[in-house]
Amino acid sequence: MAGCGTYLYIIMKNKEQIKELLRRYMDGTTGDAGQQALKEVLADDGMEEVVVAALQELAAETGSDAAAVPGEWHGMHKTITSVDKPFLPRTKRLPLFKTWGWAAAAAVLLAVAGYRWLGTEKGTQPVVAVLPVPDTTAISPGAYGAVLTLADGSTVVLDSLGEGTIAAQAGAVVKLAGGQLAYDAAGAGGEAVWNAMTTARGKQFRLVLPDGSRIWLNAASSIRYPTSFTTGDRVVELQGEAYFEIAGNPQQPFRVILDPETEIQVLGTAFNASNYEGGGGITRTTLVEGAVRIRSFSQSQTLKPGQQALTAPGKIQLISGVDTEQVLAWKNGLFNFNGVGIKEVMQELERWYDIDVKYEGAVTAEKFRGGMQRGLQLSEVLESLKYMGVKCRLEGRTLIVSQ
Amino acid sequence: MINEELHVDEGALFKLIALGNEEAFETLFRGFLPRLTPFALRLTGNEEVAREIVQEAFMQLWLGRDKLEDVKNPAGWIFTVTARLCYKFLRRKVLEEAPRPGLAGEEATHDHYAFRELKTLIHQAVLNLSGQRKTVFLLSREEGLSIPEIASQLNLSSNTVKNTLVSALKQIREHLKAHGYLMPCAIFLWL
Repeated sequence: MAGCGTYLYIIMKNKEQIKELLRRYMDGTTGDAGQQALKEVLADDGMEEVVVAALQELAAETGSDAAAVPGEWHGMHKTITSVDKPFLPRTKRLPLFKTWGWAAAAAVLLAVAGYRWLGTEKGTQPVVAVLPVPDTTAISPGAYGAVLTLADGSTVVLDSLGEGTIAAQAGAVVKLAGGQLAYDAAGAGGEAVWNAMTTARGKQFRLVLPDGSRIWLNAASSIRYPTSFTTGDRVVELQGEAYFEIAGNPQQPFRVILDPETEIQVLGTAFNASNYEGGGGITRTTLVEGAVRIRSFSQSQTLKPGQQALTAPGKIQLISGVDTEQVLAWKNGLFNFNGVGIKEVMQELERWYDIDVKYEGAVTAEKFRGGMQRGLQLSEVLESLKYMGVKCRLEGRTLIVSQ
Repeated sequence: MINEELHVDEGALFKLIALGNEEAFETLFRGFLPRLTPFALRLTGNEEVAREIVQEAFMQLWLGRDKLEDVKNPAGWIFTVTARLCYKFLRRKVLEEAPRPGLAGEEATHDHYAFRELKTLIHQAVLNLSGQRKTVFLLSREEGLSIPEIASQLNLSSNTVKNTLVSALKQIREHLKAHGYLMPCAIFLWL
């Protein structure tokens, strides 16, 4: 049998013979020797191109037969072209909202820390003139600032802009007043256009949507929204972290899209969500009060206050008894590091002080307790960390943590 | 009326698909689906696996669409992509040999997840695009605007928009590759 295999192996270098072998394979008439020959041909990487060429010819020679195509394959092209459509269609309505007419004015807190996705924005951020930092230990905390992207793709740096009207698009007026950006859609008509607000590391900003909903956008985050909510659901797209106070409107449910397959449906509510780098696309949503529904892939879950939902592709997991104050700390000007590991602490510092953190050797697995003001200089934060036994040193804007 | 798809100029379709034209992609899909399906079904003897192969062939065509413009022999190109996928299937099937119970069901579930994962990966890649690339790509894929429409909206030349889309697709493919989704590069060398 071994000799037989060797013999077949030699002759099967010929494309026509491989075609014949494959034909017999498809007809189910290969036989033991043919099966052995096929194995040897396929196991030989050097034969790949010849086998592919044989398969290509066989495929091209096989006749066309529309009747052989299973019925459900005919819509396949739609699935394929949907693969690089970044978000859910905006017009998609979720019927479940229709029974939830009780949704009242609500405060919503959201934190989606998708830093993997946000690194990008950094490249496009105009460099904002800050005080020069000759002494590397004098790294200041974050401040108010953001970049607004208008519907035509032009950008406006909001950091140091004076108060007043910034732009009018499709009848909606956008104004900067009292350190926040506000939309007035009173004159809006026709199709709404989309704007985006983006914060760099170390920046936060506030936004009032055309429906009166208020949003606090945390550092290294981006939110995309229409300049008027004319009909249908109110849909916004978030990457990063934000706090929402949503104006109630049962006729126009509010939805926050976190990734192509995950969204938060606001039912009247206060909650928080996050999505950490390296977490494999995990989102984390914590409900503070009211109700939200998480829809991720084909599943959905309604949260109760104090519950947190973790989503990964195909899975939603609920955790009860979450410390919501900790989750809201950033919005209240605090870091809250209770029960948090060193890497999560460092991630927060990276975002707020615009530094990079590197590790030397194994880092401690211990969890932290306590919190800090977000207004501290980095040097003061590092002192506290050193006091807690964390060894670290600054080199430029890189913080090296060793243990 | 019979086989009217076959009379369509495939080269012209490839050029349109390269510009992101979904209708052209649909026309090509409808023309080639009856040509690829009988072979895929015969080779695999399994409808679910055959569907995976056919879908993946068209997926690679779509995700590599910016390269289609220069393909001289579109039919040959599609059959080669399909043949490569069939080869992968055969190796798995013939060499691993051990019968896998419930293969069809498992593969279907796997494929379902694979598609979602692919979509999520692409989404991440899109968010990672730099300002102009992202704007242009979103206008193309999300708003469904044509290249001239994007050009006039952003006050750019059509050529710039086109090049930006090509760079965006390239960057997306690199992201996919970095995350283990393999585009058979050999196909593109074969032209």
